[in-house]
Order: sequence, then structure tokens, then C-alpha cells
Amino acid sequence: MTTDEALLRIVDLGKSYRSRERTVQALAGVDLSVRDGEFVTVVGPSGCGKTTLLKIVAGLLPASTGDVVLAGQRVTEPPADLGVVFQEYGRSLFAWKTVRQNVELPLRSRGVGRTVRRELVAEALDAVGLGPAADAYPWQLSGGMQQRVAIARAVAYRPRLLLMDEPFSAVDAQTRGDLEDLLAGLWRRYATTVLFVTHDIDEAVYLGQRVVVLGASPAGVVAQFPIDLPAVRDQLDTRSSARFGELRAQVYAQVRRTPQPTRRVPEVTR
Amino acid sequence: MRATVIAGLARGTRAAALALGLPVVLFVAWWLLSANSTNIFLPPLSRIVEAFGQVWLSDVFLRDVLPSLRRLATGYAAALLVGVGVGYLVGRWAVVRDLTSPILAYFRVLPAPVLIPVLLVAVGIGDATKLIVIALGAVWPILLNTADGVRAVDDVQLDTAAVYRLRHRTRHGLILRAASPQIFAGARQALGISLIVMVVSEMLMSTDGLGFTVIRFQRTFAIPQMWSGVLLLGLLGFGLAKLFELIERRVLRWHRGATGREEPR
Repeated sequence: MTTDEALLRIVDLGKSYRSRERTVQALAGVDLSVRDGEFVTVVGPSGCGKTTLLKIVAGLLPASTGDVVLAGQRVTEPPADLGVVFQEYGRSLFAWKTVRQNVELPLRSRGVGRTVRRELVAEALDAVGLGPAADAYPWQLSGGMQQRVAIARAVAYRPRLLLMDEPFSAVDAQTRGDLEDLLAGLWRRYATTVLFVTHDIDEAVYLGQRVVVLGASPAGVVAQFPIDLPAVRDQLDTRSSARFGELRAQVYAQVRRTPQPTRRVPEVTR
Repeated sequence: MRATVIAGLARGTRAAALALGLPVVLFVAWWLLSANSTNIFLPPLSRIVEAFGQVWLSDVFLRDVLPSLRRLATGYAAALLVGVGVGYLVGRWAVVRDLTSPILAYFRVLPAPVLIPVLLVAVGIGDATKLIVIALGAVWPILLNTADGVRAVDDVQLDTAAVYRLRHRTRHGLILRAASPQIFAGARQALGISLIVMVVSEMLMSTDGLGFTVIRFQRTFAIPQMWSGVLLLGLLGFGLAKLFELIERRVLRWHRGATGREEPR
């Protein structure tokens, strides 16, 4: 992999938080490249700085050291063509807007004309199976359906890079499997580049073309595992295959060898 | 089908009985206890009701009630505009908050009517003084609640707005909308304060209006008429509160839904 192919390059990234008593180093020396169209998952124990990493990539937090370069541009503020799906689906949707209006909002600010906007929104809602719920309000939907709205909002936006921060960790197991397959299908259909953060090793192996293990304190990339499973995966067959078991065991062993963070990375304050 | 209609009616009747029960009992008690009153300051309720019809269902309504309502509406609207605007700035930017918090803490506890003598000298006896006093009394709960609400807007919503590069105008709108439950709480308090300050300012410096009329009746010993003014003010406050509630229910439907106080469809 040459750097020319990389859509996203994270170079020697570090982040420290200063409080009155001490300085907490959350991330140090993070190096990671993501190719255009690749699906990369990042695993690590909770509190190791995964969310901090995503926020820096999204331009929501400044890095202390190092660089994030997206499509040749240094990231200093939220870049164009970036979509994010947050873990807190309920809080990232605007409760006074209908499903359709929530999905449409970023397109309006981008200045997309009404006709095109309508098409994009209708297609995105169909793609996540929410066509019939377009005029409902988010709070009238279940958690899994609310997260579908957030995904539809990202899909309609047609981002080059989609960041996902533990998006399925708050829904039940059945819904979670459905959402994973929905996401995998959307990724194949739209060829979007995805950087997906999770603390669930099974999920990371099931979804990713490459699994990046983040860990230690301060956190850096401790290992990367190419995932040579078939491109189209299945909750039953893939998860029960021998190769899945081997890959899962490798990643698991690596995560277990990685020292646990001694203290949580502090909640991000602005 | 018929049974559910009857059950619904019964429920409605029960709710109405609960809501109106105590007021009706008190009214009847007042009526009966005061029926033979000879105390000139506590006339029989029947005389007060009679006076109510004579006084307020006449051109007095145009001469005194309408000016009061106009002052109330204008002063309250000004308080809303300034309170939400300044509250937004205070809630959004820490610098503004740090700069203004000592001043806000001082003026918040200053009773607005105390400014009446000052404004009388500085601005004069006209309507402007009354409007300023009403607005000054009503602005604080709106301003402080707006600031709190804006400050408490969820970080995830702000991050979402930033990531999707929403326009600044759109973002301001989203933040105000997210803060609207608190803004409404402040506006509800402010409505009560506006009414009080309106009456006080009219009692102290006016030639028309409800407050002025009540004082005039008292000074001319038209005691039943004076009481009828008190009744009217109470009814007015009650009506305004109900109207406010109606608007709030409509505008904040999403908030009741999102906080689980309204059944999903």
C-alpha cells in the first residue's frame, strides 16, 4: 500500500489533556492509513481513546501533535464529504424534526436543489428500510430504527469517508446483527470508505477488511490484522466458519496482551 | 361502541368536575356567607357580580381594559425579544457569561416596580415608562432560562451540526429549538410577572387601565366595583395562563414525546 492510494492518513498523532493537577496523554504516535473504499475497524478496550481518535479525524477536536490528512487536505475543522454516525443515536437526531427532515438537513446546508434532495432522501430512506416511516418523529421509533435514520442521513450525504463510533453498542443483539448486515450492504453498494470504532472484537472481525487494535496507555496502534473472509458475509455462516474463529482468536489474544488503560481518557470538554 | 362513548363522557365529566369542583364550592360559599353582609368593605357577592356586569361590559372595556392589554402585550413581547436574544449570547459564549454574570445577578433580584420613581423622573409619565417597567420585570426569567437552556444543549447535537457543516443560521435555529423547553418555562414565569408589574405601574402612574380603575373605585368608595376589578384581573391572569399552556402544548409536543410523556403512535 503506497501513501498515494490512502484516502485518510493519520501520522504520528498525539493528544493530551491538561487539567490543573496533571496532564493525561490519551493518544501517542498513532499511525494509520485507510485506502479509498476500504472498511477498517478499530478495536480497543473502553476508555482507551477510540472516541478521541474519531473526534480528531472528524475535525471536532484539535490534535496535540501529528497530522490527520484526508484526501490530501490537513484536517483542522470538519472536512467536506465526511459523515459521522454517533453511538448516541437518540441524541444526534433532532427530535422536533421528522425522519425525512433530519435526513434532509445536511443537504439543505450544502445547497442541494430541492428535486435532487428529495431523490437522495427517498433513496437513502429506502436503502435503510425506513421509507414508510419518513414522516414519523425519531422519538416514535425504536432504538434500532433511530440508528437507521442516522445511517440514512450519512448515506444521503454521500460522504467519501464515513466515521462510526460504536454505533450499534446500544441496541439489542438481533437488531445489532441486522444493522451490521445493513451497513455491510450499504458499503458494497456505495463504495464508501468506512472507519468503524467498536469495543466488540466479533463485530470488528465480522465487518472489517482490516482490524486495527488500539491500546496501551497512551494509546497507539499495537497491531493490524487483514481479514481474508469472503467479501459478502453472513451472520450464521461467517460467524460459524473456522477462519472467523481463528481471526477472532488472534485479535482477542492481541487485545488481551495489550495493557489495559490505568485510567479512562477524560470525557471530552470543549 | 356505545359503552366506550359513555365511558369517555363519564371520564370527561369526572375531569371537569375535578377541575371546577373546588372553585364552584368556594364561589357558592362566598355567595352564601356574604349574602347578608353589612360591612361596607365586604359587600355581598351578588352586588359584586352585578357591578361586574355594569362596569366591565360597557365602554370601560375599551377605555381601560384594552390599554392594559396593549401595554401587557407590548412589554411582554419586548421582554421575550431581549430575553431570548441576550440569553442566547450569554448561554452560548463563556466570555459573555463571565462578563455579565455579576450585573445579571444584581438586576435579577432588583424588584422592577422600584424603578418606577426613577423612570418617572427620567422618562416621564407616558406609556413608555410602563412598558419599560413591564419589560424589565419580565425579562429576567426569560433571559436566565434561555441562557441555561442554550448552555445545556447536547454536545452530540452540536457535533452533528459541525460534522455536517450546517449553516450558521441553521445552527442558531437548532440551538434555540433545543433550548425551547427552558425558554417556555421562563416565558411562563414572565407572563405572571408582566401582569403584576402592569397593574402596579397603572396604580402608581396612569390615567387609564385596570390598575388605575381599581384604585379609582377604591378612592371613591365604589367598593363592589373595586372588587369586580379584582375578579376581572384574576380571570384575565387565568385566561392568559391557559392560552400560554395551549401554545406550549403545541410547540413542545416533540419534547413530551422525546421524554416519554406522550404515547408513541
